[in-house]
Amino acid sequence: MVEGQKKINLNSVYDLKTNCDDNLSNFFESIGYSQDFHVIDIRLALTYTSIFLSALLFYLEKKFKNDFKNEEYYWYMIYVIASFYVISGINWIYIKFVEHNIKYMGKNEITGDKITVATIVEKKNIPPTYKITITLNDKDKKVSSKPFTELYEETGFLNYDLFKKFLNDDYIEVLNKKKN
Amino acid sequence: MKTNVRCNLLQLSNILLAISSAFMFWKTLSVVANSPSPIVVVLSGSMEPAFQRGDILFLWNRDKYVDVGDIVVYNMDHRDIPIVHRVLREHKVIPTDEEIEKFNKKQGLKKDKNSNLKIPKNKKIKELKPSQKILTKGDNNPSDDLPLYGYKQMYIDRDNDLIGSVKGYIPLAGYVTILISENIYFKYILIGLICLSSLFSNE
Repeated sequence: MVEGQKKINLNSVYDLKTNCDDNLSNFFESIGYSQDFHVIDIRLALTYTSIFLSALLFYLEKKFKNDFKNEEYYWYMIYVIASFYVISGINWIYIKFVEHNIKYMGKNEITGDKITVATIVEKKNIPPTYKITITLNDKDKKVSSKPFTELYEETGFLNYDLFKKFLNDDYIEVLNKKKN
Repeated sequence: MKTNVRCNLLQLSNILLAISSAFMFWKTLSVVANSPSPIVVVLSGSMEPAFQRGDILFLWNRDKYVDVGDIVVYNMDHRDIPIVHRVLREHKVIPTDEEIEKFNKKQGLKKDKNSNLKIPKNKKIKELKPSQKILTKGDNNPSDDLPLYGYKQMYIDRDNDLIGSVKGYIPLAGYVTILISENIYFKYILIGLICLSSLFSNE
């Protein structure tokens, strides 16, 4: 058991993956990267805009007493509903194609390297595996995977040393690719 | 720390987005059906055997006129619950040209040479539109709805009082809402179950 680790329900693949994703930033911070939040910030902005739009419509409903004969209210409703669907659509496209499983983005201030880490779970494998794609400077890529049974101890804690080694090996390989 | 704030915001947004999507779906349905309440639950037995208490009704409010025999839902200003009843009689009031002219004169509108209306800018004008007066009755009631209407009111107005006419229904699917509003024990049992399930879910 490593200090600062949470006990995870070993039967929930979702929890296992989320916990691994949360630990990515710890590793990359330890080797000198600082996290870049702009992908998640854009997603948050889009999501909260659509939440704001529905709150606005709720306010309008109360203000106009939901009177459909009031043309002003009627057109407000159509505009707000239409923009809600547009923003939700953009958000959906953004999550599907831009964010696309990216769980960590960081920049090394000294070397100027940019790193992107995307993760998925391969559920078809038994036991399920954690598949990770490290991309350096949008060019050099390394894909590898490890079963969760190896990453986690039986007690439900992440074996951080092993996790670190797993990431480190991949990272060094990507670095070597860059040098060649 | 920064990650933590974003994580919490993202988690919160999941719940909020679920609520707002449901609300937006309801509003979309309202606008499409042109009805402030496009889905209603039957609360009384006055339309038996057509509808039982607890049936869910789907409404549509874009027809210009309703016909005799249609089942409509109307809402009177002095009553808080909408009523589902059948149209017994209807009467279309279509204004003649003379009446329209008289009405426009009252508003101070004049005609130009080509006999088109001169409409002053920045002024809201009323239009005398055709309307429909309706008398309704519950299938299971011995008499028509006159006693339900307001004092000295002999009919309901299609544009002002109707929420929509029934286009489809699911039998008994909305009975839970009746149980919640009428049975106090059921309400407490339901709240208890929700609390219990939240205790036993994740973490």
